[in-house]
Amino acid sequence: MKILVMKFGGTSVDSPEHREIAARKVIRAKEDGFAPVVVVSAIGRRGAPYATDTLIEFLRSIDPSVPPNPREMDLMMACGEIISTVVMAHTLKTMGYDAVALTGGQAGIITDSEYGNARVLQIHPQAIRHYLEAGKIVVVAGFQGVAEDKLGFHPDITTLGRGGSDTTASALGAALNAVAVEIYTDVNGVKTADPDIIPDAKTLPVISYEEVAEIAHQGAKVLHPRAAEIAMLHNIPLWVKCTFTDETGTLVTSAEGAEGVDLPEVTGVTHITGKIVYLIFHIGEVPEKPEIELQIYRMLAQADVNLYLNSYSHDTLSFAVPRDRWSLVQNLLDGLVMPVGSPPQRLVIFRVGEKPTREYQLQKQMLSALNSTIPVQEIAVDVLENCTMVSLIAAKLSRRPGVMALFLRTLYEAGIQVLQTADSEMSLSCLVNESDVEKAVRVLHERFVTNRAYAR
Amino acid sequence: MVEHFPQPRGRRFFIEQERGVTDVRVEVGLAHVRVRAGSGEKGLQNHLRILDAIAEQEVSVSLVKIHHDWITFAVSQSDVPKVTQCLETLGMEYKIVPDLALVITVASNMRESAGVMAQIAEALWEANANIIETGDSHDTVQCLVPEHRAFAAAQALRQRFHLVEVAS
Repeated sequence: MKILVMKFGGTSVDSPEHREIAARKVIRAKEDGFAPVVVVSAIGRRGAPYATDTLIEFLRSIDPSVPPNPREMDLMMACGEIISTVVMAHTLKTMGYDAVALTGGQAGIITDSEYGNARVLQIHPQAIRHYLEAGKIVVVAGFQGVAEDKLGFHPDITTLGRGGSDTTASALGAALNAVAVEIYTDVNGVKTADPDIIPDAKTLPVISYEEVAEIAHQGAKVLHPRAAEIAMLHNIPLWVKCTFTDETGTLVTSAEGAEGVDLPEVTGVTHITGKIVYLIFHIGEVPEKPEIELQIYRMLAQADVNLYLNSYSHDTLSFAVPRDRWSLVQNLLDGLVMPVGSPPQRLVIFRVGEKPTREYQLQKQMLSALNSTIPVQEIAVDVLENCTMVSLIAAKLSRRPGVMALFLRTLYEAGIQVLQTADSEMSLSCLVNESDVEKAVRVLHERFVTNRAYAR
Repeated sequence: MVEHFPQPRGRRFFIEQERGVTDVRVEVGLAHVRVRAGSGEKGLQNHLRILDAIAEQEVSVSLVKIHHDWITFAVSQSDVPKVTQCLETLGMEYKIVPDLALVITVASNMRESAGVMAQIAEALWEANANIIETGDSHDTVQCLVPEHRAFAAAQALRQRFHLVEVAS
């Protein structure tokens, strides 16, 4: 039995016409001799009656001051995919094909119990195999599974987090040893850049698992990185295709799987759409610098704040925090007084931003009384708000001598201020002001993708 | 040169890899270079002069960071003579710290894991491995530390993240 997993996103099932187009692709696969397992997302996007965001807002609207219990929130969110699954199965039935709808739990998807962001641990595929052997098309609700109930009763419904339906499709592909997993969306594959910025961005015919995971992590929205990671772990070919065309799309595979096709030297240019706040702590060249850094990290970890773009120098520490956590971070840091040394040899006080705030001034005033007994040092924290990251994904290129210089030259020549850089085996990234993002994407795409002007 | 620390198997996985840190690796034989580039337009021009000159020598750079007055990067220890010659020729003020190693912590979806950096910094602090520079990607945090403390640092990280033998 040649099992083919076909996943359709929310915009692929948001109207009777779109559902019929999706259903015809499933039927064609069936007629071609495949055993299709269909995974669907909730119908439509925010505002559509059964879209995930709509269901979340509905629950929260009962009383915005009371956050819903994560367990109940998962039950609520899972409804959108269940409705979509039943609708798709019935659509197939109306077109003359026997189909069965399964929730994630009925499909045997077992997760850990982290509500809202569960991980798939195991899949018991007996039910799916039973229905496939009976000739039915199986439609599975994406984005969900079940976890053991902590009290030992019936399992709880869990959801898999952002991009969860892609994860479901890849996980089912792995468990069923599918010939391929096809992710259908509203674009015709993985592009070399966001088509809203680069209208003639090319569709990549083939890309490696690592590259697609990297571009997804660096901001591209075409495929969730967890789906790529699962496909890579189990070596399942993954296709990204358009629901509304018959174009080939993009094959995501291992370097060995791309036999006869050269993986590109430059995969593309991506950018993160959410704003980032970049902080530079002027700690000074003092022996206690590592201790102060550690205390800052500990405090932000306790506040559940993710840090990235970490950078050290002999006298500074810098890192970025997500824009939506900035207010919390500012409250924690501004005017913070930290004892340094054991026993404390001195105190440091943090001043965030250019102008001293009232909170800072009050703390400083209180400390002045202590100044004769213990030294007090001020640590100024520069704040770069409204910046974001643009990345060149180039696995074969990022460590080549001269490429970082060319990357920076391209940005400097365009008058773009580069606030910081980051590099890895897979990519070169820069932190820029949000107002420069589109220009940065355009100039990098032109030089590295269109003109391939990196050859030396 | 990349060396896997002994027992680099990480945690078991089923369909998906378990969340959290899965491996710690050590890459030895590195040096850290700090060059005073200046600020403003002069600084930008100097960034390019420095990186171009080093590229001409076929030297690969990593962990490139831009600071107010400085540009810093890591190079292979074996490339230090070439880098030194370049910087001398350019007449730049610089400092090179040799005998460093990169301790690489690997985790699934690092950017969604709050607190990992704090745990790494704590482990390295306990191992007396002073962090000279860091880099991060979606699945790694890389810390440049003195080479003679690198394996103690990796051991501390493995203990911190419970990367122990798992019965199959």
